[in-house]
Order: sequence, then C-alpha cells, then structure tokens
Amino acid sequence: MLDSFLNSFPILFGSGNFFTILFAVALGLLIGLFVGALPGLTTLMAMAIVLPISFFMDPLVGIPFLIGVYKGGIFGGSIPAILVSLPGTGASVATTFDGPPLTKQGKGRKALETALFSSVIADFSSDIVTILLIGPIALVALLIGPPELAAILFLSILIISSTSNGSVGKNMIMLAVGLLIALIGQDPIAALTRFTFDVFELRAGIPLLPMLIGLFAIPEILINIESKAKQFVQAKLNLKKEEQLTWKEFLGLRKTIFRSTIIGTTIGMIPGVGQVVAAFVGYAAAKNASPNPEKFGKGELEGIAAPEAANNAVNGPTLVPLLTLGIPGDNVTAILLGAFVAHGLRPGPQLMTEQGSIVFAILLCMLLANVLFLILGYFTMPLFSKVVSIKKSYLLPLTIVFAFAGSFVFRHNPADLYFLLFFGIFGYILRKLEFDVTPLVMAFILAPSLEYAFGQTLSLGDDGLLKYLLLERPIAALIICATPIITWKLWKRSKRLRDVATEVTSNQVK
Amino acid sequence: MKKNFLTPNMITGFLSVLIGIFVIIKIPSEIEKPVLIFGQSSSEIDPELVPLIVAIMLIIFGSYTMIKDRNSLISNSWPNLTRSMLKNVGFTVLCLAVYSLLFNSLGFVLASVLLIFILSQYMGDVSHYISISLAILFPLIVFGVFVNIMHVFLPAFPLYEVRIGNYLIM
Repeated sequence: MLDSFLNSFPILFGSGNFFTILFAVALGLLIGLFVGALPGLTTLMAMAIVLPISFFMDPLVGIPFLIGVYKGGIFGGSIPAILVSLPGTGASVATTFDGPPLTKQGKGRKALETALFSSVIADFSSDIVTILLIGPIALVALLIGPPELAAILFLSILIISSTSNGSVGKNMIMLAVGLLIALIGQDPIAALTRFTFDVFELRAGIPLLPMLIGLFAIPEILINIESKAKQFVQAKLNLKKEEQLTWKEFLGLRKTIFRSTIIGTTIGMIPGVGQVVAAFVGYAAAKNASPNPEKFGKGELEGIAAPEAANNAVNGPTLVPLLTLGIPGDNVTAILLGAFVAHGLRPGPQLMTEQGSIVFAILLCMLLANVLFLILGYFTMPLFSKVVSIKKSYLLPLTIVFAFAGSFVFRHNPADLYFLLFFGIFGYILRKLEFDVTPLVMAFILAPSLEYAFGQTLSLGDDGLLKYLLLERPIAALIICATPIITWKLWKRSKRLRDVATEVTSNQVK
Repeated sequence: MKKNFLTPNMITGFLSVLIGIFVIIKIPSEIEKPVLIFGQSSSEIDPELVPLIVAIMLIIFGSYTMIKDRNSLISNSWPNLTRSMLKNVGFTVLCLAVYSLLFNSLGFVLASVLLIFILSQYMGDVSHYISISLAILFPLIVFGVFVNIMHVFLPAFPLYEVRIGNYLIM
C-alpha cells in the first residue's frame, strides 16, 4: 500500500497531464462555485449534469474535475446563504443564521472569507485523514470474500435507508424500488433476461446516467420553474468596499474550526447522514462551547466557521467506504462511483491493490484542489456574489439542454432521453411527496454486486448455508447477526443528530 | 385528532404492496429459464429467487407503511401545488417530451434553439435579443465542444451538415 502511495506522486506530477489536471480541477471548482451560488440549484445537480463530460477525459483528469465541482459547490452554496439568507445548497442552511446579520452590518465579505478559510482548512484536514485511513481499511477489505461482501453490502443499504431523511417505511420502500429497477435487464449471475416485457430498450437494463441526471437534475429544474419567478433573488451587492477578515479574528476561530472538523470527519464516515446534519451539529457544538451563546444568530463569525468547517469535513471520509468496499455513502459519492466505473476503476476491495497508485493520485488531487479552491475562492468571491441575481429564465433552459446532451452522449441512444424524462418526472413526484431518493439510488447501484455476491455465497454453501456460514465464514455470520443491531444503533444516532438540527433551527426561528 | 385515511403514506404503502403482488404474478413469465447443460442448470442459483425476495420486501415495507406510518407526521403531507404551478410544470414537461422527440429528427442544435427560446419566453422577463442570442449561441457552443473537441456524437441537422472548414457546426 505504501508503494502505491509513493508511486502516485510520479503519476500525478511526472505525467504530462499535470497542468491539464490543474485546469480541470480549476474548471470544476468554478462550475461548482457558480451553481452553488445559485439558490435552488444544488451541487448534486451540477455533478449529475457534468458527469458525462468527465467520461471523455483521462481518469486522472475527469474524476478530479468532478471533485472540483463538489468542493466548489459546497462553498458556493454559502455565498447566497450569507449574503441574501437563501442557502444555495442544503449544507449551507445553518450558515443562514449568522451570515445575513453580518451582511446587514456591512461584514458580508468578512463572513464569506470566514466561510472560505474554515471550509478549506476542514476539507484539507479531512482529506489527510482519508488518505491515512484508506490504506489500512483497504488491507482489511482484501480479506473479505463473497459471503462477507454480500453481508456488508446488505448492511450498507439498510443503514443508508434507515439514516436517510423522512419516514423509515418510505425509505425502505425506496430501497425495494431501487432493487426492483435493478432487476430489469439481465441478471448478473447467468445473464438471463428478466422483466423486459419484450421492450428492446430494456434488455440492457436501466442506464445509470439518465437515471442519475433524471432523479437529481430535472426535479430541481421543475421545482424552480413552478413559481416562474424571474430571478433566483433580487439583490444588488458590492463586496469590494467591505472590510476583510483580520488575522486576529481568524486565530480566534481556530478552536471552532478544529472542533467542527472532527465532527464533520466523524459524520462523513457514517453512510447516509451527510453534510446538512454535520453543519447543524457543528453549529450546535460551537454555540454550546461559546462563552457568548446569546450572540449566535445575531452575526457571530463562529456561527459561520462552525457549520462551514463541519460540512466540508464530510467530503473526504465519504470516499473511504466507496473506494475500499464499493459502497457510496451518499448521492454525491454515488455519482463519483459512476465516474470511477466509467473509467474502468471498479471501487471495491480489489481496487486499491490493482490500481492503488491511481487512487492515491486522485486523493492527492483532492489536496491540490483545496489549495486551488482557496486561491480561486478568494479572488472570485466578489464575482460569484453577483451570480445570485442571474435571471432564472435564461439559466434554466440552458441547464435542461445540457442535461439532455449529457444523457445522450454516453450511449448515443435516443431511448436514454425518454429514460431521462421518465426519471425526471418520477423524481419530481418523489420530491413533492417528500421521499428521499438516496436509498433508491444506492440500492440500484449496489444491487448487481449484492446479487452476484449473494449468488456466489449460495453456491459456496450448497451443502448447507447455515453450516457453511457458521463454520467457514464466521465473520460473515457475525455481520449478518449484527446487522439489525448496527442498523438500529445508527438509526437512533442519525435521529438524534437530526433532532439536534431541528432544535437548532427552531431556536433560530424563535 | 381526526385520522385521515388517504394520506400519502397510505397510498404509497398500498402501491408498494400492489407492485409486489404484480412482480410475483409476473415472475414465471418475465424471467428467462436457465439453459440445461448436461442436465445441469446454467445458473448457480434459482433465477426467480432474488426477484421473489424483492417482491416480498415491497409487500412487507408497503404493509408496514400502510399500517404503522399511515398517520405519521413525518413527511406525510400532500404537496401544496397551485393551479399555476401545475400549469408551469406541465408546460415544461410537455416541452421536454417534444424536445426528446425532436432531438434526433431535427438535430441537437435546432431542437435546442427552439427549446431555449420557447422556455425563456414562457418564463418571461427576458430581453428578446438576449433570449434569441442565447438560444442560438449556447447550442452551437455545446455542439461544437462535444463534437469537435471531445469527439462525441450528437445528432446533426438531418438534411445537410453545416461545416466551417473541418468543423461540424450543426
């Protein structure tokens, strides 16, 4: 593993691609900042739409490009949250508590700089933790066989479903619907056709890309079109004249940033919980630890640093289960999984041994992206603060065209446009009925691996599955036995974290 | 408190159970039978097993939602959609459906020009000049980047290809 890590340096810095990688990351960051700064459009949507573009790049260029969009988008979301009290993404809702009061005091620029520095420091630290963790976990992952893999995959989708937003019953239905959609096409064991209803376009199964773009991008566009409002927000801002963050003020925030980084990194390792919860928990922890909690919500810099550091610290650790076990922890990592697979890098136990150097090179790109993020974020802040006032009527039709072109280019199949439209409408209905699509997407993505590992396990335990598991695969048996307990514990924990988030929100509303 | 019968959870659960039953009914006819090679099945496991498990999951979770979550206060409210919201979304979906059909027959550029122009005009508060310029320039740029730089296929105008030098324009 150490060899792979050391080999990643010449791959990244020695290849002629280095400046292309830098350019791709910078472009990704700018796209992310732009979309994140638009209230109503999320990072997830941006990633889903640009995902097909990354397929036509080298893996070392395409995947860092997507990571750039991700990182830029999370910070971009805090721009309208601070300036006009409209969170650009869910992760920046907690930032709206102290951002707008600071803007009213003429400290908008100071607040944005606090958000930027906290985000970069937390993101950088959590990426280092990711690099340190990934090697040992990958070594453990190598010891697992089909029974253990099947048990872990099953446990993962159960955890993701139980920790997602909303009602557990509806999340479990979404999980089953995701598995059902994955049944369409051919089974992964003997390539037998199933549930195609004699429709030729269904024989190859439901394509991932139109499904992802349909579920994540089209519903957001439709929701924005509902009100037919002319602009995302009416605002005139000029940050250039405002005062900047001082060194003394920044030093005063170091404890808050450190605390939130630990909170975000820990939450990032729990599948399905994500940035929104991390931001709220970070905010609540900072308020509890502060000698002046009454100042929170009235324009406190710590109230910006805490949620921003916590939500950005989630980014790195979510990649650990993805790269070592092939399990995406949230929707963003599900999109990244699509990119890895399209580039021939199948995340899972074998990835780190077969392509470890490339994976480490990608992780190093994440560190590089943070440095670029700091520079670009700092200098483009005034520019992106103007993005909030772009007219919807210009931007949304262009986004639709890009989403359709992106869905089409991968397979050149006109049917993919119909799949896109179907999943777009389906996703819109689900959003309006307050369904979380995460369990559906995760189940759809993990179903082939789960079914394959499950089939192999049944085949290996042909003489008696229980005996085989208990005597020859005790770890798999242990995981199966522990599944209800782990799922219950994590459900309780995520419920508690969400309760903290709700409490923080209701306190702010009062 | 008065209990509602037709809540979103109740309907979701009911639909889930129905889909589960439908899958069970369709399993015998919609799953290809494995080939027998020297009397042995080509599939290591019964191909009907996993679909059956999924169908049972749908029935169990659907029943749970119908019974237990029927009157839950968590994400169980009907969407607050006004007539004008439905009209806006309906019109957009109609445009997208027509766009999907025209994408191939009219070519990417022309179909996109029409979509951008119609949608931006429908949404209102646009300068006609900017709207027309964007509607023409954006599809041309996307087509140019995808086809000439990334070497990816997008449907060109079906009657004749418009080129500048070696570059396909639309």
